[in-house]
Amino acid sequence: MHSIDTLEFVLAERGPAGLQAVSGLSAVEAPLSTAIEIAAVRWGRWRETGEDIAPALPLHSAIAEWGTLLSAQSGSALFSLLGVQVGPAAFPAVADGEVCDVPADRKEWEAGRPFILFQERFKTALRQHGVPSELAHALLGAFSEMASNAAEHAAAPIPAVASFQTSPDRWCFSVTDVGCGVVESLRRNPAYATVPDARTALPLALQHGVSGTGKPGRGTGFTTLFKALIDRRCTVRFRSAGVAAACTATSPTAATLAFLVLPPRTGFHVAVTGDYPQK
Amino acid sequence: MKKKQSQGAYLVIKEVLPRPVLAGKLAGDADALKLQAAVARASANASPVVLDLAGIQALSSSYFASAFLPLWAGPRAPGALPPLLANVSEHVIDDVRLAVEANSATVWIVRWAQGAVNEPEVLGKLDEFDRQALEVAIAEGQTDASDLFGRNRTIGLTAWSTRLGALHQKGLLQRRKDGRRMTYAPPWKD
Repeated sequence: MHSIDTLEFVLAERGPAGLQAVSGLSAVEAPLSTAIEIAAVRWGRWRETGEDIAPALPLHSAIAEWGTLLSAQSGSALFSLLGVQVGPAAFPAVADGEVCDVPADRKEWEAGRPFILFQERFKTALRQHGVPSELAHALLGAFSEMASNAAEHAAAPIPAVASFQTSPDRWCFSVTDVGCGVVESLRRNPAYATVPDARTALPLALQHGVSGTGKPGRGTGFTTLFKALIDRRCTVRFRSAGVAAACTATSPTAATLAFLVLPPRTGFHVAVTGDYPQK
Repeated sequence: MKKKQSQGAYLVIKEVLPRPVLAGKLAGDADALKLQAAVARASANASPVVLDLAGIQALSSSYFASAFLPLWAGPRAPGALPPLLANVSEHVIDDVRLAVEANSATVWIVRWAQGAVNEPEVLGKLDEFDRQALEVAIAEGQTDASDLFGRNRTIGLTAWSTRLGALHQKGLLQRRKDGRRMTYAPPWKD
């Protein structure tokens, strides 16, 4: 299996055609969140280069493209493009998960019935895999918090996307935007105006009480996320600008993350994958 | 703690916001007006309004800060009292506390069953004198500055009076005039 960082490197250095040429890539088993993260990188490069951006304007078009490519490479049916439509737009149907646009502002959240139903389906999927009600609700709260964060802070030209996936042995959710990224978001707060780079900004942004808004009482979103993961064995991954932070741990926190400097990219990505509790 | 009878209005949050998970600032912003309208309707004839959170399984602090806290921070009609939070589950209490403290607010939380208040507790930062004043008001049904000064002379009579006034301003105690004396009682006390 290739890591997300390998895939991103291939994409950044050699383009989609290069992916075809990389030895062993047929072994890719990309979860939905990985494909979305790669798609977001691809979207950013489309935008940077001006390369035929029209088909990529919605992020889910890029997701569909990468899903198709990864499915073809792996020979698996990770992405099924059989025409099943879910969410407010025409997303690719996934064998065991879904993708949905995140409502972009308060008015869309007020009318955000499709997103609420999408979240409900995540909860239902978790419960069908035996996840206790308490944990399912906590994960749903964290998921919603991350989605709201993306909508509020990304300043993106297109909506963020949220995804969930439940397979027989694990659950996963992700929220991805192609907005301003963690450095610019944090610098809006005068207290962090001099944050030099993503390597400094990302660990700072994950701390309790740190926010680009500069308003008292803000900056609690990641606290809600980490609280939901207490006593849970899971993998957490954040990616923004030129840095990734990830760890696999029981009760992950901002302090347990390992940071890796990577090629810059647009937006912010958070993905959480966890095991089911022992029955 | 013995039961305290209350005649306040009563609102089941799950009926106003019909989903078990309330999270995210934007979702809170979107729900804030709906919640404020429901509280305004409920408080038309009675105050304080009891907001029953039974059945709410997740409530993030950012959601609480944007949807709920304006109910305490906004202007109130003369004599009106801010809401009480009731039946806050153990899954939710830490996030509510986080939001309340981060926003320098103070909120009564209670157990509410069959119209009676049980186990009242204030979330938010209060010092030992404020807490003593609230404890006496709950235990005795009401208190005043002389009563508190008689129990604790670490601070003076005027200081107790000032503190009671401040607790009233925060909506944590209701104030009544008894001749030349001001007495203070918990919000749910008739």
